Amino acid sequence: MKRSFLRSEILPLFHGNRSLALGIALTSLFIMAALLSFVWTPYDVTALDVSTRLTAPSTTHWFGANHLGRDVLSMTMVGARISIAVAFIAVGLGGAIGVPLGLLAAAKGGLIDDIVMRFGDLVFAFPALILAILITAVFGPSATNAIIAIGIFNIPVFARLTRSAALPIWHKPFVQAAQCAGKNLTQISAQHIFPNIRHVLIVQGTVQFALAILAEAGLSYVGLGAQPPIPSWGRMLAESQTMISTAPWLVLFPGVAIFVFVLGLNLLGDGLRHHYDPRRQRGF
Amino acid sequence: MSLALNIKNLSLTIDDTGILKGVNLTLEAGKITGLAGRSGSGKSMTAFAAMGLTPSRSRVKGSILLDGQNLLEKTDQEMCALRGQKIAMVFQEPMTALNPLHTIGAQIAETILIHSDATRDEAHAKAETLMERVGLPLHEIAPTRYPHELSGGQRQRVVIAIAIAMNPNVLIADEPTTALDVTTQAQILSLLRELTEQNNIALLLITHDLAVLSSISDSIAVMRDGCIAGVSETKAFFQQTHADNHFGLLPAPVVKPEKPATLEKTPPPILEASNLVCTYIQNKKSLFSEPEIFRAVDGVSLTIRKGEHVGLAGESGCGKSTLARALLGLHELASGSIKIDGEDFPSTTPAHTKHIRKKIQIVFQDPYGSFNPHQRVEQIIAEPFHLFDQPLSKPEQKERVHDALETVGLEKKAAEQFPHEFSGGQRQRIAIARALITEPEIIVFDEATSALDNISRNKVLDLLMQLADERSVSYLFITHDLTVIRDVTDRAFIMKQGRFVEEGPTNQLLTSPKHAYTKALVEAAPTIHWTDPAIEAT
Amino acid sequence: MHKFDTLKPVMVLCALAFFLLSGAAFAAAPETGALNVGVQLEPPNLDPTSGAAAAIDEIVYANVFEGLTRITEEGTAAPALAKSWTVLNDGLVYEFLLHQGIKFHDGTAFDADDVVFSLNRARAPTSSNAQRPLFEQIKTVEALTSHQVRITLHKPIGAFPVYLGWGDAVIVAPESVATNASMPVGTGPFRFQRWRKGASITLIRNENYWGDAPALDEINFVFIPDPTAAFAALFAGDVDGFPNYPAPENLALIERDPRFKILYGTSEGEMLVAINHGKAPFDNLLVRRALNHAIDKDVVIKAGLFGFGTPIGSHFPPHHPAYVDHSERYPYDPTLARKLLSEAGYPNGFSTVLTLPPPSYARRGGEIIAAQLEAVGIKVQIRNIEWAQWLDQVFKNKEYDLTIVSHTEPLDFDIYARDDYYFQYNNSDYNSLITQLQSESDETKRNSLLQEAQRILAEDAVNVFIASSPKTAIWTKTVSDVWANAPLQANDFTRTQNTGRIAVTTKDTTTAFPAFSILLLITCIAFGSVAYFGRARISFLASRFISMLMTLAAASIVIFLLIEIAPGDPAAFMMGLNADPASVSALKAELGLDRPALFRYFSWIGGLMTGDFGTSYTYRVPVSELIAERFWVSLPLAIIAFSLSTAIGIPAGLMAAARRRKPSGQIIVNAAQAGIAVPNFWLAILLVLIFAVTFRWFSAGGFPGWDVGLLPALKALLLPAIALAIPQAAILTQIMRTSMINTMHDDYVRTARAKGLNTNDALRTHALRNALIPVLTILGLQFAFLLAGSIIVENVFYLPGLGRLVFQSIAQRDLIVVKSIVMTLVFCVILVAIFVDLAYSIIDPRLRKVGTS
Repeated sequence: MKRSFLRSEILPLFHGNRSLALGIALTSLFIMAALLSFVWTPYDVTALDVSTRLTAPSTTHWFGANHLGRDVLSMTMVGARISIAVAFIAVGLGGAIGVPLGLLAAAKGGLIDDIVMRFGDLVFAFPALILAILITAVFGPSATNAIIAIGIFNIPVFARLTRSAALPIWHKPFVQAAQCAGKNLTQISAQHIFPNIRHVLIVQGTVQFALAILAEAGLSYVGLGAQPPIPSWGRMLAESQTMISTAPWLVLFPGVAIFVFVLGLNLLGDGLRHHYDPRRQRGF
Repeated sequence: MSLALNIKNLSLTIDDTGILKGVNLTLEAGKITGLAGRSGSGKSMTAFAAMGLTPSRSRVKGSILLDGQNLLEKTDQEMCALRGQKIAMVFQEPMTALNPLHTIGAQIAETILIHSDATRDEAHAKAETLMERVGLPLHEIAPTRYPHELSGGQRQRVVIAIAIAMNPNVLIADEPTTALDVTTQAQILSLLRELTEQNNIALLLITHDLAVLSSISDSIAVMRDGCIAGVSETKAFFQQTHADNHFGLLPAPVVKPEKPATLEKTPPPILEASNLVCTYIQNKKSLFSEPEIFRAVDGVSLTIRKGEHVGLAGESGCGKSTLARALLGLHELASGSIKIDGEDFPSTTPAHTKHIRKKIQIVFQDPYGSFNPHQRVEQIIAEPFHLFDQPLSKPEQKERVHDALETVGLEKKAAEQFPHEFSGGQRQRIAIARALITEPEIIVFDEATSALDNISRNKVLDLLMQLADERSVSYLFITHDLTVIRDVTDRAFIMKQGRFVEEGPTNQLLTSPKHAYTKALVEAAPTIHWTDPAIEAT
Repeated sequence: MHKFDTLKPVMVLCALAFFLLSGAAFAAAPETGALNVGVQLEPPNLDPTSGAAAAIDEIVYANVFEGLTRITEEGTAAPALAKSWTVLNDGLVYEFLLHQGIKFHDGTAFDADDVVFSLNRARAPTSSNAQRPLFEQIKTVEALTSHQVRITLHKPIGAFPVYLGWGDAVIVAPESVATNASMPVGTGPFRFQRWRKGASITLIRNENYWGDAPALDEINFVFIPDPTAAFAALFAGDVDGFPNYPAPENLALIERDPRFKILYGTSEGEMLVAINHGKAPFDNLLVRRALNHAIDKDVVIKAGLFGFGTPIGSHFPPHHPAYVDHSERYPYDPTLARKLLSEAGYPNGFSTVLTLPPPSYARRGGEIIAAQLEAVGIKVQIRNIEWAQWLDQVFKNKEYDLTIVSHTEPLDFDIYARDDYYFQYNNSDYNSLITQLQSESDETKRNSLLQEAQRILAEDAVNVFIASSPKTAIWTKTVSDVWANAPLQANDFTRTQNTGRIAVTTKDTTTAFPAFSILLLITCIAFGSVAYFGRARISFLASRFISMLMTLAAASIVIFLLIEIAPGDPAAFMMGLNADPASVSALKAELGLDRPALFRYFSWIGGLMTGDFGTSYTYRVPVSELIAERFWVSLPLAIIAFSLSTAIGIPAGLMAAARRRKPSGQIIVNAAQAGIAVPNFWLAILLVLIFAVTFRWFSAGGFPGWDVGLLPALKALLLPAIALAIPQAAILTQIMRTSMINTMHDDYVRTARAKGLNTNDALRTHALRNALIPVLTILGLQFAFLLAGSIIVENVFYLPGLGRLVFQSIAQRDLIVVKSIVMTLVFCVILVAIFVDLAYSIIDPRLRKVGTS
């Protein structure tokens, strides 16, 4: 199976699935840029150069330079790093806690199920960014607190999704067969439930990842995300907003970066959803 | 004798794949024409072509003549005027064929409003008479009810009422009873028969079940691979015994091995269940009232002896699946006890429970849902090894899996494959292999054959009989299908509303049922009337 | 008949919305001479004698309140309520002769007793006056006659008449002193008219003013904290100018614009890097000098202040006659800085934290300074905090290493002599110098003492003195006679004229309709309609209701706990920068902040139950009133955005479903994918750029209030609504499309076709309503999101809505407001969820009472 992995697993992915191809392309572009920024950026992102203040995009500064003379391309690359890191850890955190909770709720039902569901109700009762803003405002603005704030929101998202995807699986005969084979709830959850809801979680993961990117941008736009001098897209927007008429590229590039990255992730999610669509897969 | 619908040389392609390849079929007024065939043979697509409801990507050729007009030349607007008016259709799945948000009265009246100048009130009044006509008395079923408040049979009556509202010349019923219980099926079929005769309708009855046709159709057309393989009078059809195996539609009968019945007088009991009660908590009526408790299994006792084949029959919802789950320890008992091989099950310690579990295994109905689609057959079959106190070595496991596969008639290499690569019948063999792997004393079959076509079913049953001959394993067949009971069991129970209403040796139970319910079941079960050994099917 | 059933609740809602919107008063009576002034900070209250926030003086000083003396544009004391004064006993006794016939705005007469009352109140031990130590220098205040006052001091104070001109020394009347915080009553040329919290304060002409009548009829102070919004408001013509323009980066552009004039004036603001002398290594003079050499002040001025600043070398404004230029004392020399650091014992530098308050000079300057310090080996971690935290952590508790701040109080060099000041600087020479200065009234001698003080501060490298930031005022050319310089942080508009704007006299109606009763009303309608329809499953609704209550209770605990552990003392914030600790604790007691937490939780909950949300710490008005005011911005905004999103999303989704195999359908899908990915605040910025700045079709932000008319108010909400609606519409489009595609393949649609319906009719009558069921959930979520989640977009447009109020209150540590708003929002979200459930049970018969099961 391994030798034909590329042919059997990877290539068919793209067959008639432009969303997936484009999604993967855009997403990996940003991930590459973020990874590249660890070893190389066109300019040092923290270095100040008053002589290049507010330079328009040119061959030397592709995305122009900001009011401190910093290179916008370099900042956008490093900004991608922060965005991805915050979103990835936040979603990972949500998944790492939410998925087991959801599996547990589906397996046990009863009180645990109730608690998990009510916890979701509680978190969802806080509109949009209010909870995140409360948390970051209380514990101080930082990338870590932004992660926690966004992560907390993701826990019930994953818990509920996992639970609702797992419940029908629990009624499948193969789960009863596993019970007849003496497997306990944990073993069944791990061996039978999880593999069968994995694709749902992956699709939701990309969606949540995109939402987390937007949330991180929003938080750092109001100054509650990563702190300077670490560049982040939201803060780049906030800082350059005042210069919108004199240096519109400062507002343009971070905004476009958020937009394109989120678009890429959404396309990836759509593509995966299409790929995993049961109507496309006989026998699944 | 007048020709109501004449389908000539009808062919249909979807995305260049030929689905229908020159179908010729005629329907007569006041007669029922059966259209039989295995799934995928093009039965439904023929119906949709006649209705002008083929999928948008399909291309249709040939002609369908209704009242001398070729339906295939009509625009959709013209077809709209004919659909429901001249030609109507009843669908397979009554649970989803009705709009859940509209009252049944409104849904019936809608047809009348589309095709006549009737006022809203007139249409609703007509709808009420139609409901009476299809056996939905108004004092029991108000037209203001919503579909979810009706049973499956009642809904199918509503769908029929919609179809006959404008007294069409042609009625197409696509598997109208497949989703229904045996007794309901019998009622719906007799309603269709009655309507056909009284309203002089030409009825095309599509089904995969020859037994249904044998009781009510006037003629039978068999479809195979997008063509009509043959048409004949119903009587004639069943008289030409095994001539060409009825276009591959009829299976060879199950061979029940001769049993040395008197060899052992009373073999030891392997499964003893006494006074089992299983309950479900219903939704609360109001917030403060006690939750209502539904007793799905209500005081049932049964004993199965070593080597015995026992049947348990009943209609859906009678509690038989809950009982099966309870016997396997998958559903908590409200009261009562289960002994397997003389030991209490479940036992006090998990380890001992596991030990007893080895002796009882199950095969499920759904050959698609019975396996984790992400596991290979080897993993699936090997799963019950978990019950062994001493884990087996990998090669030993593999060997046993291979043995089990060969036992059920599959090749060794099947172990490397995924379940979706097999057909329904093969999957049930894999399920049997999984059940056999721990060498249990008893296997429970929960509707294990009802998702299979006749031929596969009989092959699976043959295999089971053969296995029983080789090893002294007991079987409990839980089914709604009396055929299975008749074909393979020694003794049977009839279950209704959580209780056993009758039990006894199979032959006696089926030939001279004592309880009224058993009688109704036996009578409702469609039977193919011919001289050969009776073959029944759902 | 079912269609009507579905429509009914919608119609009820529409009627309600229309009633609410049209209920706003219409009034427009043009007159003359109004001035819309943009100011950066909203004052916490309007009583200059009980809070030190400069934002208070910016509004009321000289306009509403007057003192015995007034500060002129040059910074000297001029007669005001006092016609003249004489100094006796070597500066120990002052006798003031008052003007006669002056009346307060409420009609009560002004006389010597009011002066005695005001000054005694300021120096009383319970006084919460921010300058209490100054007034404690007063020994007695006596009314000699009704128009003569004698003040005796403990010891001579040289600049006493100047101090009496400060905002903290304005004369208040005992009859109105209690309500001055929210309804200031003074003797000035303008009367307070209205305060729209978070948005604006309006003053109108005092027709009975004792002095020369002011030229303006009306002054509107509009609060615009965000530099971008300030720029946009200026260009959109929402304001006539800013006495302190917060976005120096735009000045070049403004200079080119013929509509505006820029006035560069002196100010008392000294921007400095404050150093905590109480912490090693900053107690080391060499380290401090190294810092001074390491920072290139010119670069900081150029990039951080966009060139608008004069280098200074000490804590003294350049426009003062006693000013000495010390700016070259520590030239930029990183090598020397490193050398000094090695000498001090830090050859490899050290790590430190640079704490930055919100203003852009601090944030931008901080980044540059951090980079420059890194260059000499000092590792700098930047910490951005809110003003409230700054006041609490830096100013009060002195928990900081370095911070950047601008000191704007005039002639405040005495802060370096205070024992407990946050610099923790202690130099006995300096202290005795200041003591000397306080009793010296001879101008020449004073100046030489002041020069010595500057020298000491520079030599000791007490702080890194960066620049005196000029007061950059921007006015449209129609505005004349405004102060260019800022001896006080105040805006004296007594003589100002504006020919460019006519006053819109508005009725004095504050719509104080408690938010709670609105919510109650909505709940009643919800359950009333259930009773009316009478067919929803009672158990279903009852269990939803119980779980709603449980969620509310849990949410209240979470909110309370979060708020409880939030750092920052609201009392300290309210008292401002130079507040006296005793006054702070007096205020704490007054606000009940010293009670145990459990008590506060239950009194909060109890208050919520009865509709009493408590009183805002900062605004000193009932929280319910505050929320109600904001609710009338957020709710209409949400309704407009929601209507837009629904009006776009549902038809687009249906169209995309119907044409899913055609290019036009694919285009809709692609557009929706793009729409979902756009961050709404970015969209908002772009909309402002396009429609407000470039085309000037819309105002760039702000909210005129419903009482100026329905249309202007709706117009102000349109751009933010579009920014909010587009991503939501995109989501809705996708959901509607998916739902419709799923539904159109359902069996009953085929049944309908078999009945003889054509495709469109079958979809319309059968698929659509079923497809709407999942969409309903999304609609509910979206409405809840729009009601409260618009926080960021409200910031872009400086709309005084609920979301922004949360943010402002967090920034100001107005915890009781935060608690109550978040609670209200949670309540709204849950209410919407209940509405959705209700709608479900109306649309979907499967959730209704069943005849037989």
